[in-house]
Amino acid sequence: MSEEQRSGFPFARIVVILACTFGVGLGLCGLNGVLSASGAAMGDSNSVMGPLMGVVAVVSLLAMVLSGLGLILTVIAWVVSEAFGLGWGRSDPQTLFGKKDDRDPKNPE
Amino acid sequence: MTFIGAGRGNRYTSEMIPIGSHPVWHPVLETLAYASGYAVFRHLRGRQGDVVDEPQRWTVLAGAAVGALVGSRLLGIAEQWPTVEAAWHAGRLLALLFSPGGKTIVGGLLGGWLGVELVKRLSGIRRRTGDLFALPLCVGIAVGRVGCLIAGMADDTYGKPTSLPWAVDLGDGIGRHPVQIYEILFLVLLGIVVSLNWRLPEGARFRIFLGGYLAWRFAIDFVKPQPLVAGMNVIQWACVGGIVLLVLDGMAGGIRGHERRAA
Repeated sequence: MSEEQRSGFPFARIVVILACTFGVGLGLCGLNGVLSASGAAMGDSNSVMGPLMGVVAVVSLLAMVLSGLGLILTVIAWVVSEAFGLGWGRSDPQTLFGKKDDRDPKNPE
Repeated sequence: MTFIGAGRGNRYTSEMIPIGSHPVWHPVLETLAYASGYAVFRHLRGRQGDVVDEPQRWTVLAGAAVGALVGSRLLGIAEQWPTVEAAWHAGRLLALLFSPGGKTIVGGLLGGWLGVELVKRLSGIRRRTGDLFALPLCVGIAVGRVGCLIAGMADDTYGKPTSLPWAVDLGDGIGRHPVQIYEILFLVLLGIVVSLNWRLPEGARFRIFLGGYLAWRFAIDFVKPQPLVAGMNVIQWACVGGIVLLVLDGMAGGIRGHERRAA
């Protein structure tokens, strides 16, 4: 049985997507800084860059705040679901540096 | 030839390569680093296949992402030990934890590694899943280091002063070791090593990458002016810890292999 089928809810996928969104938000935030450094003024309707910077600033801030909060909440929800036995099957635990699965897939025994 | 930062009032001399400090570019290059690393990962996974199925790979990626985020932040704060000490005495430690900046690659790698091992243990994934990360990490870190170089003195990754002919001026008028360029060159070599078509045990490429990078950082951080704790900076201590863990992991693997052969 696959991980996702076991857990029922794709926590892992959501965590990765939120982390990527956070990264994109970070990049947009930097882009805004680059535009500022190049002399564009936020909200300046006389320049092409002015309104664009306002949009970039809002989008980057929203992306970072929402994805950051979402990331924290999703990880907490994931941990809680595991703590109450709703997620991962624990049928086959391993040590931190456990041996790799070197069984032959054609002959598992 | 026009250099970045030229004409902005920085004091350059003919012996130094003028770079200047442009911190606004750092987040842009950081995002490009994540994107390029992920693109290489997707390419490799499509070409070579994967040792785990897709849901398990998502689980591994999530463990890596969360572990890397926490690890890079914690070590990034610990790296600036005097700042942490001052914040502790002023009762502002929590505020420091959530302040912008202060992330480290070594913390990200070690945190990501431990995060993956943790989720693998919880979910019963027994395969070594790190080989697909080795080359993407080389590419991503190299791209990110361009951002560190351009950020100059605003980033805490600059080198110690030097009079070598390839010294760079990061905006303070002092010639410094271009440690970011040294690291990019090292990562090119490491990327070639982990990409060679050798027959290696599962997980060995990632361990070569991690061991190589930690050893490199241990060495190169001697030419960075970071606060020292018992003779080395916090990153170097973390590198030593990571290398010890890797050696223990290798020894445990060797003992298990010996027991299997004996049985």
